[in-house]
Amino acid sequence: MPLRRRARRALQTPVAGRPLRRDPRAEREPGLAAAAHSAATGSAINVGPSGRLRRDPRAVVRQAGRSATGRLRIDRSGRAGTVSHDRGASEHVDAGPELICIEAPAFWIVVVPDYEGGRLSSHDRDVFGAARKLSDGAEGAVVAVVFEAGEDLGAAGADRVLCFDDAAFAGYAPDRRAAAIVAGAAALTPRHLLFPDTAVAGGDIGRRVAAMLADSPAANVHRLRADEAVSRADGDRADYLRAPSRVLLMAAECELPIGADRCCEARRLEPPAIEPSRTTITDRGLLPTNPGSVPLAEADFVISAGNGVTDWTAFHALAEVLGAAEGGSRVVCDAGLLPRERQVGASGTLIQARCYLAFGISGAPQHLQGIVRCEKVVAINTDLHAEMVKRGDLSAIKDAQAVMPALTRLLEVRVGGA
Amino acid sequence: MGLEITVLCSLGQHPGSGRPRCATADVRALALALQLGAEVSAVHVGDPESAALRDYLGQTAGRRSLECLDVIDVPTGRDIRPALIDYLRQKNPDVILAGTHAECGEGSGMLAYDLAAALGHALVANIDSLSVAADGSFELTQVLARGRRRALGVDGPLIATIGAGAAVRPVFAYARAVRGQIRRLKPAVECPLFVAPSIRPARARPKRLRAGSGNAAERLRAASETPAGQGRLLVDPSAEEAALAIADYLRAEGLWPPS
Ligand SMILES: Cc1cc2nc3c(=O)[nH]c(=O)nc-3n(C[C@H](O)[C@H](O)[C@H](O)COP(=O)(O)OP(=O)(O)OC[C@H]3O[C@@H](n4cnc5c(N)ncnc54)[C@H](O)[C@@H]3O)c2cc1C
Repeated sequence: MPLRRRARRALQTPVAGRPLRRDPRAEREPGLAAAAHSAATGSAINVGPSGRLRRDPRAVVRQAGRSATGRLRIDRSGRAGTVSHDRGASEHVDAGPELICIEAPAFWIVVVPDYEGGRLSSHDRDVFGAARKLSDGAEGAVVAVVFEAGEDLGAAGADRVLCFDDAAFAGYAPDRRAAAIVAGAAALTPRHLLFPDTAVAGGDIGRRVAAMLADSPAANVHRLRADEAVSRADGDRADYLRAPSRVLLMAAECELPIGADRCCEARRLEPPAIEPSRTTITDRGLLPTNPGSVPLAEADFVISAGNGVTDWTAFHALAEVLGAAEGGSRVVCDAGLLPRERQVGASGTLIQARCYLAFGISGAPQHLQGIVRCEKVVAINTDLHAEMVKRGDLSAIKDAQAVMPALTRLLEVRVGGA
Repeated sequence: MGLEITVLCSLGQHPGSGRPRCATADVRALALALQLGAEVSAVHVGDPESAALRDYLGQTAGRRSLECLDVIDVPTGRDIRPALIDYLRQKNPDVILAGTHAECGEGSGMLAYDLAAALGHALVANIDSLSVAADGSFELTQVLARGRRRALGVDGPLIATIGAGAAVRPVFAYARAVRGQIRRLKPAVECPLFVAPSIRPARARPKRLRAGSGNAAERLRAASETPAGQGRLLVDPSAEEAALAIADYLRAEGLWPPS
């Protein structure tokens, strides 16, 4: 009967003359301190005396908002701590992102984004996020090394920018880029160099840099902390754990990109003067690819037709002059107007084009699921209230049969006039 | 023509069953070399007894297959690079082909880069085709993201890597797999032991969710509703106006005029 015995003992009162009973709880000072802290700050989740997380139900109720009908609104997303539910308090004024300046960092972390065409991919932003995770809180700073001018790197999390904007680095020049990175890094002696592990950009250059520095890099890293890098290896069956190497090749979604509430200054550094190294590789430029032969999932620019398209010659002509891959909704593929492998959507292809041009598509959920990863959407539809129009970054309420030939004509005039 | 190609062959494993087999990317590299009509040799560093090595002998492309696979006998757990560098120095082929990543083990994709640094060869990643121009230089096409291809020219000795998605596909012939020879070689140099990394089985990585914020109703809306583009809306423009607006938009995206 251990339970009953404990209950009886709890009832015992200290007898005069005897030493007071020991209170094991009171002896756990850190726990009490944490409890006192929790009472002061009112945070709902704290560390208990044994080191486990404890949820304080009273604080949860205190922090919860109330709906118009007076019911409790408990937010379990974990973001509650940052949101003030203090009704009646003054509205928070949005002053834009907070600018972070680091003057004299304790160490440097170099990030080399792919930055293709001067644009940051989501993979690039993730790598910056991972670099900030290492530098924040340890007084480090992040240097971005890029080879062309473009998008603002401060918003992604770069404190400094080293831009080698020279024709020698244009196109496929991984040897020269690697040599420039090593030369640029020599002046800073960075703790780590981070690259997105992409096939012919970051992954290629990063491995060259590693070979030059005689480093064995951790590749396909999906978790990075100051003392540990975890790579997915062995054909995605195992995780290899090790101390972070100097060069790190980061997987996509390795870390969250920094929030929109922060911004770094991205101050320009003067790139060191370097002699472009001799190379035996010559870049002969991109090959013209037939957009019709590019699989829809890989296409960069997709023009898509729905039930609102009746003039198919105009559609095909426009796709050809634009050099875009053709796609369609399920309705047109069912009707045999486009082959099945051209269907965009949940039961077709999930595309990740940079730009999606939708003619006469209503935007059914199954269709929209196929284009969640498209960056920009242009919708042409006669229905102002179509979901596709809502999704569009540019929407025109107009007959598709009129707009398609107008675009083709515009293009022919430009090409002819140029 | 006298072009000599050496293909580096590693052991792979089936993604589902985990059975040993030849590595997909290396098979593609072998097929590319055979197709070219060059003098092809292939080398594996590891255990000559592995049954899966015979898979390489059975791969045919352009009606040709390997007659002999060189296997340098190095026990597992050792650094294979010294043995391989020594072998390639002796052999001195014009082109070395390898897969981008190994399918077993760490698969960091560093091997080709270490070899290129040691041998002083030019390296081109992720190629799709290879040919020899009239002046003896190499013409390559490189696979880029989103279905694009880049043409490259290379003078002098070359190491190229091939991805598992390359277009060349060999045909397997069982009789040739049985008939082919496996030649055992002893490593001429010392191969140091590798430091064993700490390994744990991979767990599925959580999918990244679109970060919803605010209360439950807002999060439900964010998860279930159409994400609205922050776009311009043109209500009943003339066809020319609409076309101009779209053209301007595409120009801002770098897609107009099309190349
Ligand atoms: C299990 C399941 C899976 C599905 N999977 C998919 C999928 O993978 N992909 C997919 O696309 N669908 C899929 N669907 C079908 C989907 O629900 C819709 O039926 C389909 O997407 C509608 O296609 P639509 O927009 O072309 O046609 P509609 O819904 O008929 O829309 C036509 C649009 O064109 C507009 N329009 C009409 N005339 C003109 C004009 N002259 N100029 C401009 N606009 C005009 C109309 O206003 C309307 O908005 C699936 C359905 C189910 C049940």
